Amino acid sequence: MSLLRKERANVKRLFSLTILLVIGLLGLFAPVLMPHDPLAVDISKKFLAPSWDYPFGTDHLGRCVFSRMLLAIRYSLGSALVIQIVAILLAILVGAFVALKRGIVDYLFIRICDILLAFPTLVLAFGLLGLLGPSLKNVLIALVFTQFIYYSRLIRGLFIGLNEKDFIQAARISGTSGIKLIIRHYIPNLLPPIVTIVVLDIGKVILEIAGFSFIGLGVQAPIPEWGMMVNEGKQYIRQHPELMLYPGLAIVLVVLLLNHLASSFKKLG
Amino acid sequence: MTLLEVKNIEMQYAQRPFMFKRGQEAPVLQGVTFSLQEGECLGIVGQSGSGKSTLGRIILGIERPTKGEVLFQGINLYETTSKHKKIIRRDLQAVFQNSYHSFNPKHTIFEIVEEPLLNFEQFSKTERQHKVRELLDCVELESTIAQKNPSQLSGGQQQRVNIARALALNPKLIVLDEAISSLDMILQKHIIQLLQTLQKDMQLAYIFISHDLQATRYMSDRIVVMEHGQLVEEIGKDEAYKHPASLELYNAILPSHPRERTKKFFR
Ligand SMILES: Nc1ncnc2c1ncn2[C@@H]1O[C@H](COP(=O)(O)OP(=O)(O)OP(=O)(O)O)[C@@H](O)[C@H]1O
Ligand SMILES: [Mg+2]
Repeated sequence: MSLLRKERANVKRLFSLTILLVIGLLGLFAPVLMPHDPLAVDISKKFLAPSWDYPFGTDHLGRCVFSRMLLAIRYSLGSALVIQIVAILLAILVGAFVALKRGIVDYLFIRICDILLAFPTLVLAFGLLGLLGPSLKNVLIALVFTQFIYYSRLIRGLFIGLNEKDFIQAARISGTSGIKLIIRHYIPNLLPPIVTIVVLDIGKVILEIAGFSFIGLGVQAPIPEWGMMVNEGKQYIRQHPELMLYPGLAIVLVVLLLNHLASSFKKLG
Repeated sequence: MTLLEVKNIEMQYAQRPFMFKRGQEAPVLQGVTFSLQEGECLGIVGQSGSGKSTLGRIILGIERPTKGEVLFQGINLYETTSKHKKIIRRDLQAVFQNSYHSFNPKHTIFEIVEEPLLNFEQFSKTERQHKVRELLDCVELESTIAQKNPSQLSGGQQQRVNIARALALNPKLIVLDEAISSLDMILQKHIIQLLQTLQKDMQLAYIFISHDLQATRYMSDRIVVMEHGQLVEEIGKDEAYKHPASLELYNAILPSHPRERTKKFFR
């Protein structure tokens, strides 16, 4: 890999990371930064144009769109982040266990994964949501589950790829085993692919949460979430397209930045 | 006292693990039986692909043979409780054929040599640093090397780091798989002398795997010859090779003077 390409990947990474960080901080400090209560309804103020008081104007119920956008960061980006972290940690536990155990446990694991993965993740999540009922909590559970299955299979494969490596066998001979072996040897050598895929999929998960909310299965009104806001805005698309545009653009921006970031990780290796 | 007993080992790599075993290939090892005394050095020679490294891994307890058993100090390596295994682990160390691949690429030399100490000794950090320096010194490496990564070392330096790691726990047996073959002659001699001193001082036993007949002869008390996964001959330190496979290996050594080479090689 040439130095120039590495340098460019570095700049790219720094760029996307900074913007994402700013967005993340905006979400974190949303309660302080919000100019108005994002849930406060005031019909007399509906569809106000952007002003100093209401930077993005107001929606059909007279709520401050800017405040809602800020709070929505928590529900969109925040939940996606939580889903990804929980799913990958569970997946590392299970994937590592079967990869180190092999034999019948591994065989059964693979069969079960194959069956579950035969359904597209969205269909699987739909099924789960059908069972659990629509709510933000259940969306989180359903998506953690689908991501977890997919990742544990992936992690198992990555681990098995290292199983036969000389340095793993040398470590065993040095007396390292179990959790210590995983933490000292497997994880550090598998971090780049794991981080890449987790970051890349945050975008996918944001889209899925938004998708569920859009069709009414996810976040329930009046809580703001980008997909949900697009849904609310769609009734007024002719008169006030900006109501859909703000959350739509936010989704596109964050997903693109995450892809950008993930691809820079891949290049840096 | 008998340290290691290898009984009737057979090894066959399955194409598919579990359930779907397909097409039977010729076994990599067949009917391998020998034993090793405490403090003894057994040489294993044989052509490339004859199964030496595989046998080494089986003896080390990291690859389960298809048939047969390995007894280390009377305990079967593949049928033992994890507690016993931990005790055995300490006494049974190895130097791998491919040094570079036997290091975690993310670790420094210090972390590599320190690893067995972390697992078996209750040393403080400074004690470990001291011990690692001592071990590196033992194999004639500068202690400044400790902060480097494996890829920054020459092949010979990597091999010596490997040897240092194997020595860290004062084991009873070390399997040396081509452990000195990428060292220059002077270093080879030094390392062999070091290994022999340790052998005497600590009753250390070796299994010395190599295709270098001269080094093997110099190191070993006994030599076994492998061909196609079988032991075809066993000779003492001063005995001559008799089996055709051994003679073939023997005859392939280049005579030290070019004048004598022509006859043998360009017939
Ligand atoms: N993991 C494996 N899976 C399948 N076949 C293997 C595996 N490891 C080794 N073999 C086969 O076993 C045979 C013996 O290999 P081994 O590495 O033991 O030879 P060797 O005597 O050490 O050779 P060399 O002197 O080149 O190191 C070879 O034919 C090889 O293809
Ligand atoms: Mg070999």
